[in-house]
Amino acid sequence: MSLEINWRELIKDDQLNESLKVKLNQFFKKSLNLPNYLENFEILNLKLNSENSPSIIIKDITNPLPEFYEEDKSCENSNDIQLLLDCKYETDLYLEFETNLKLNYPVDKFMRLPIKFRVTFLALHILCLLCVFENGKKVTFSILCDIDDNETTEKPTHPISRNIVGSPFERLSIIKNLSIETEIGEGEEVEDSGNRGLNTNSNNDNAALRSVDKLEEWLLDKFKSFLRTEVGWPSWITFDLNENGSDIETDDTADDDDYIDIDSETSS
Amino acid sequence: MSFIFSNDMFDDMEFNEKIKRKLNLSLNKSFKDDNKNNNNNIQDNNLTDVSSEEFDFLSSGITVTDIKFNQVPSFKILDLDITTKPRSLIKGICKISIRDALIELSTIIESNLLYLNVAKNENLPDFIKPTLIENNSFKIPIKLVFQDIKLDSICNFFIQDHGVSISFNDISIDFQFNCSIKILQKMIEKNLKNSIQSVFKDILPSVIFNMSQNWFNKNHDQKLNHLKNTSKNAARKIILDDSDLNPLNLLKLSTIVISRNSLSLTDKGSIKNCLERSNLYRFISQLPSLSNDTSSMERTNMLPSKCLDNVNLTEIINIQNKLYERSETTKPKRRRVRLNRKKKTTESKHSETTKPIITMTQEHPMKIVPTRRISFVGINKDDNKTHYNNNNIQNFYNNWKWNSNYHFQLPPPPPYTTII
Repeated sequence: MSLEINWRELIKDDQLNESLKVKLNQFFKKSLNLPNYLENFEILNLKLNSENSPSIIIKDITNPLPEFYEEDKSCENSNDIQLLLDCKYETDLYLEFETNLKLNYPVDKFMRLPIKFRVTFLALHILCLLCVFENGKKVTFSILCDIDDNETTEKPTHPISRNIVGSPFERLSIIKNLSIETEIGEGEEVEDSGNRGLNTNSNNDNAALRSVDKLEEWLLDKFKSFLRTEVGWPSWITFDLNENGSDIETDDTADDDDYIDIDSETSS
Repeated sequence: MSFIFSNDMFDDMEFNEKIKRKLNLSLNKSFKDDNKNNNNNIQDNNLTDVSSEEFDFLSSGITVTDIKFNQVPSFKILDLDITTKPRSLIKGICKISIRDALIELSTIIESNLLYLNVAKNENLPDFIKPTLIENNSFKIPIKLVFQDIKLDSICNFFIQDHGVSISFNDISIDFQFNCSIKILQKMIEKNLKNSIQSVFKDILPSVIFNMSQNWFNKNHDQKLNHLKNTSKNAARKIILDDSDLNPLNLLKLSTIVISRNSLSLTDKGSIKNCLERSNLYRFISQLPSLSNDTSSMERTNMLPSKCLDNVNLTEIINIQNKLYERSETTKPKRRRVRLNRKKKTTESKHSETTKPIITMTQEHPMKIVPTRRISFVGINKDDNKTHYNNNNIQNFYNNWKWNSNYHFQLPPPPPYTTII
């Protein structure tokens, strides 16, 4: 049984990219606590622009694994369901985001270094579990393993695939292929210093540092291990879809840090 | 320029005041310690000038009366190299350039050198001292103004986990110097220009390195104290050149080497938790893995696609669990995300689209996915799965409600289902 996603409909809608970007930026502004050496994490551009739609195939529908009930044995319900999904997504999406590294000595925000990231290609093929508990009030997601298509045993010929990963000791890599470009620093525009006593440097050459390979490798590594610890089996992520917070029994063993609130109310 | 200084800060006089205060503090603190050589905000005891007592003509502290940056300094990164293995190390080259800056210093100097060398000098024996009728101190205030300061330098920096080292190459400094005592002007200017080169080449790098070492070690020490770990490592201060040759490590290495000098035929593995390279192949082939390919060293832990036809969930879970236990020591994460929704949202536009974005393909139920037997009718007996028969499915659908704000809607499975 497979899910046919009407990707063309989704892509045609330009507003979708825009609204997704705005929503994510709002979320980051509100809920993401940046360390004090970073500021302004913002998505500049987001384009899902491909003919390839993700392919989602349901492999199996069963009762949820007993591991999901480890924390609270009493909330087993006969309507709880577990879907084993085979998801494959290979696309040249375009995602550009920016953050600023800041130096707070000797004064606050003394110096800042803008860093831009551009993600241009993403490939993944995973087997994952999606469980629904309590009649749709709780959804849990976990990624089990990667799937090897026979074509990828040789080096793929995709023109922009550079960061191909995988080693014999890597249990779960999730992302098969991800292209990131980084740009560090920024050339400053010449400012009209008419009224100001301060003249900005009129050196207009773009002194930004581009495509630092090592940095990109390191970033990819960090991102993969982040995904692995957050969503890779045996870890999982649970979405509370309750309208009232009190419907789900709060788990004493869960840390408060593990809770993330997302408000989907659209602001002005 | 790569880095961006916040312009408002340079505009604002407050920053200059702050810098002035800092400079004054550090210049005068060392004055009190009889120390003549100073650097901006950096203090280091290695800089004490031993011979300063003889020429202590500074009668008061040095005050910075004015400091201005008429142009925002520029700081560009020209190259960056990051390595994480074997040790984390960041190397880079950057170019710093300052234009049109101004510093004004004022102090009081003792201009009667006879007074300094004869009257104040206790080391001089009495029979050498001449008898002078009048030998009083004659203090003159002096003001030094450095204008139009131009500084260009290319610096290489290394950041390691035990310190930061910066070296300045290609330094070019130029300034217009004005002194209120004209006789001294040329001499001071010449001396300064000569010694600035050595300040940048020798003094600054070592000062920065030592300070960073102290800072890193302090943090390191704090962490150790938190863990209540009594380290036997006596040598805390790491030597710049021989950072690898910690004597404790050398001892460990030599112990290991000696332990391998054995005529034993059986290879019991002398080192704990260590795999010999010649056994690596055997080790890898015995690792639990999802792929069947045991032949090559380059295999990855990916499930071959042919296994998708008959997915054995328990087997996969077991293998992944085993691998997890081998490699990770932390508990698995169980993050929860609360999606609080208001009933009325302005997204109603999207929910009005008539055509659902994701549908279950019902037209060719036979054509879709492979040969997996979905036991809707309950023929296969399997312990781990409940068999959804028609009644169950209806119940399930009736009790399961998706909120209409979500895009994907799963229409109910058709009431009839057959096995392929």
